Amino acid sequence: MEMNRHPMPVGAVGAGLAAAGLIAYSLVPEKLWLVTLLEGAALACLIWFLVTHFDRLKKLSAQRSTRMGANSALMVALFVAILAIVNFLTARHSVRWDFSENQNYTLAPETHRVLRGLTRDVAVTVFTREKDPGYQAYKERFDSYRQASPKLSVQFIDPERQPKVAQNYGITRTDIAIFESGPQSVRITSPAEVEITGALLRVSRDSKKRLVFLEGHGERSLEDKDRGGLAMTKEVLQKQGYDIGTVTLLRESAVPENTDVLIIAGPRRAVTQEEKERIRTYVDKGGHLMVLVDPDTQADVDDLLGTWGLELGRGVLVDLQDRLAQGDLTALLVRTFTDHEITHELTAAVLFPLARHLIFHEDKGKDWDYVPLARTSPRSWAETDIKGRVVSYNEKEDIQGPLALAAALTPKQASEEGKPRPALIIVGNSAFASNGFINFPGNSDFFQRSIGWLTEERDLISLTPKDPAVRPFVPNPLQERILLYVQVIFLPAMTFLSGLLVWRKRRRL
Amino acid sequence: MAPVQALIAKELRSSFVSPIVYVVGGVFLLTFGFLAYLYIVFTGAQAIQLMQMQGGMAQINLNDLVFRNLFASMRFVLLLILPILTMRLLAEERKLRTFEFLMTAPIRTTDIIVGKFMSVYLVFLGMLLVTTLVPLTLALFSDFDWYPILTGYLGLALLGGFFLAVGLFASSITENQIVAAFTSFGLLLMCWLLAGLGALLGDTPAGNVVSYLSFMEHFDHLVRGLVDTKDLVYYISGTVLMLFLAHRIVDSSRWK
Repeated sequence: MEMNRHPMPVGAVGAGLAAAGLIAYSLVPEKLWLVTLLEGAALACLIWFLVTHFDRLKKLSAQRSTRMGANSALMVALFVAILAIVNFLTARHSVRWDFSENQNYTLAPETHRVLRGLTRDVAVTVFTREKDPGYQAYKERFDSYRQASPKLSVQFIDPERQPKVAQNYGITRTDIAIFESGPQSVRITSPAEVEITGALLRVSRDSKKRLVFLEGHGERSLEDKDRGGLAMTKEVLQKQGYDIGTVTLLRESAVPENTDVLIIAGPRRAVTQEEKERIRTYVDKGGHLMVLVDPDTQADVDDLLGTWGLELGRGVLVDLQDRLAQGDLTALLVRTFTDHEITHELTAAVLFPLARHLIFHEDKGKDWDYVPLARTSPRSWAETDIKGRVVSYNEKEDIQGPLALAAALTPKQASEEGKPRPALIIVGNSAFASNGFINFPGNSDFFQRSIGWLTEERDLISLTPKDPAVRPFVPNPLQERILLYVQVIFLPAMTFLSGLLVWRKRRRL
Repeated sequence: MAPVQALIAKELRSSFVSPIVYVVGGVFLLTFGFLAYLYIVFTGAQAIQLMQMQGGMAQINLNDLVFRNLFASMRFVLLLILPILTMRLLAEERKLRTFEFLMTAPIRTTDIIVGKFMSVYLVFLGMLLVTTLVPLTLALFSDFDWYPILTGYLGLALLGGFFLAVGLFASSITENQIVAAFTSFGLLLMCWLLAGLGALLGDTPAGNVVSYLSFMEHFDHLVRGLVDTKDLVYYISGTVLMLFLAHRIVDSSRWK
């Protein structure tokens, strides 16, 4: 018979060659001749096998077991296909119920409003590694966002595995999400809902928000690349999707119309009365103002800030606890924040080299809501005599902490329909936002969020941060022992014991 | 009494007279209780640390620190012990040559599979029920949110069902119980490792499909208190698929 002269291996060799061809293709796809050769040989072997074993195959296929087997295989394939389709459909149109303690998976109505209003697609690229603190939160948040809007596409990139992509985007730290839509691009550094929704708002608008820096009083310059300048800061803000400009109010009769935020960054010479009047007018009309003032400067803005009930404290803040370990007592490393949109989910401390504190007078600022954003520790004070190297708290002269050194102000009264609402942020230090310090994670987060808060229509985003559920349970010795007896000893012991009894009973039978 | 019920009753009787169920149940309860105890005791110390580190940001509660970790650890415990429960289901029948009786009895293959599966699933649910004493005891001393715990139990019940179905399938292809246990163990480990492969492939269509196939992320959602229809469908279809495969294998012995 034919079969004995060509034993089985021909078929096996054919199958082996076919597999080898595929492997070769996956390893060296450029060597097409090799792949073709292998596959050609495989084809020849298999045809040979088919021809020589035709009768046998015919017999085999006529057998009942083959038919049943094929039938079974077909059924399995169909079943898998049906399940795949069902799973695909439910994954696409899933319904969720959020029973988590903090409603972590439920987006605020404001966010839904923003998502519904998206007019074009937004592509988000998140640079994070699995070991980063934000990884899980980004994943879960964007999961919820994607569920809510088909216009959002999210891609996760591990900058270590895909350094080229990270380089193209100029990524210097992880846990950054970049939103791109049309010509706009915005970056955020935290998976907070406030941040993501704010970024969606910014990126889906064609008009860029304009930040205008005041000039003419020795402020930190946007062109200055030295440690004290703002060139790097300007770059950071441009990456965030802002338009940056400058204004000299000595020449202009008013703050330009298209100004979204007016920033006074570390003035060192006196601001004139006329200028102050123009700034007041700007705020009254619903303008947004950020004032960064260092200690011991002759900026003469006290009466301007007094308009809103604020006073700049005397002296320099000294902190024994919240400071740089190797720095001196005035290099504050502030980590006490009030829960506010800006500081919510701010995880890194903010470095303020040489800062002064702020005081709010209720009587003067009775129309304003004052929120101290950042405070020094209880072991701090405002040192009024910094001449000597050794500083110590002096009850007569110095002011005992904790003291506020950054604050946000909004009017208590809601503004009329369609009128913009004023907002102010005052910080008793300007160096924290300069080239030398802006790359500190805490500093860039704090600064960017402050700007973000000032530019957003806050009537739209009034996302209140969710309080994390804090219900610690520290068992006392008695409780601990009860838990030990019940959970670790009693339950398993009972089970083992009943097993033993059953076994003994069966032995006796 | 329908054939399925009769089969379930017979299976339950035979499992409660064999020491295996008691040993597996005992080990399961011991690991559950011991892990819970350790997490609770550590949490006390951890909470104080977390408060210092993250201030008001910390999520300090029993749900996040104890139960989430506990349920996540139980995945691995189930992966180790459930194959022991399922290994004898069909393999033993083949070994003792009682398989032929089953095949010739006036009972459909579907009844056999469903009966075998339900009997072992009921045993497993019984074990889970006993573990609820842990949160109940804890509730005497502290307060926490019950919803995520209930969804976590739902997750364990679904995951256990899937594991048991895989075990039943593994038990259907061999007459050696050890081989059956290791086969199901291997299959579950592969399914687990798919999550790693999915993470490696990243956010690509292939990566998403592979991640979806692993039971990891579907379980995590439930443990964190999120009930999503896609996770429910995943577990149910995985369980049904495995039972169907076991059904095909058992059925094939009729015509082989």
